[in-house]
Amino acid sequence: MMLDFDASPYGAYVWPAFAITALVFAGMIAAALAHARRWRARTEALRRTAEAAEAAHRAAPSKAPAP
Amino acid sequence: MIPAPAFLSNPERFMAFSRWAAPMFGVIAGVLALAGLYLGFAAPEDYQQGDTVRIMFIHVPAAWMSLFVYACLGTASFLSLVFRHALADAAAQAAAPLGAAFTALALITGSLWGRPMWGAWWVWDARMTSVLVLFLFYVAYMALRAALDDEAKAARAGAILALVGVVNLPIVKFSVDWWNSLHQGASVFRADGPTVADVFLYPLLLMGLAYMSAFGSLWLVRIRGEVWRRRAEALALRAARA
Repeated sequence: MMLDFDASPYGAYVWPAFAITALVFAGMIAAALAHARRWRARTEALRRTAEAAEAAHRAAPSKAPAP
Repeated sequence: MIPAPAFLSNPERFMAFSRWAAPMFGVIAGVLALAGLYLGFAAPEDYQQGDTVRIMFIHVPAAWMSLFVYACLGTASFLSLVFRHALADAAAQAAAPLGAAFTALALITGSLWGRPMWGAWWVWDARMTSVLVLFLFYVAYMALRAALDDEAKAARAGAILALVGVVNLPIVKFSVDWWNSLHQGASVFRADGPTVADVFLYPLLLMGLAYMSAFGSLWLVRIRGEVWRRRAEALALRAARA
């Protein structure tokens, strides 16, 4: 099958429609991936901080007086 | 309890499912889009519309998705409002920007198709006006969620607004039947079968499935992002209290 890329005399309408569609899809993909990656990295950083604080708390000597 | 799918009510299971399902739907969307575009550009020019008929392969699926995504937003909002499913609220919030993008795409590509065929970029026709109202509902939903700091209040207010907007869906669908319209009536999903020639119908259906798979993939990715965001906020709150 031959592909017909000659949209004349309507190329000024057909190609912008395809270009805008490609741009919108690229934007949706980029935004979705950036949103998920940003919050995943933030969650993991907070979790590491929380674990480090908890480990430091456990390792700290007790201030209670010895019997 | 409601008979919700297990992954909808359990974030851990949802995260495990979406980890492989999101890329899988993305690959399916890419393959279907390539096949649809190949058949679309191999199809002959329409005898009346010339090459502008190829805009149909990207415009009509975007219009279908604008309605389908709003139906998903409405369903997730209902589950969130009535059954307090946190994941349903995340699903509603994740669907809105995607639905707005599909609706904007339908309006823009429709305008680019309308100019050479109707001689006008825009007319205040029932179909186009109701789709514009649909777009405004998406924007209003996102603006309302962003305006409220309290997550629970934002979820409730957003869900109520989304459910009000569901009334617009049958108006969009049947606007071409209820009012005189420049826009053509339904030609694919009809009781007596499609009226589109097979040479245009097959690429159109492939593109419709490609858009649907792309939405499935992006929706899952955005819900995952929402789950991470909520976990991050819970951890930040716990750290602030410690």
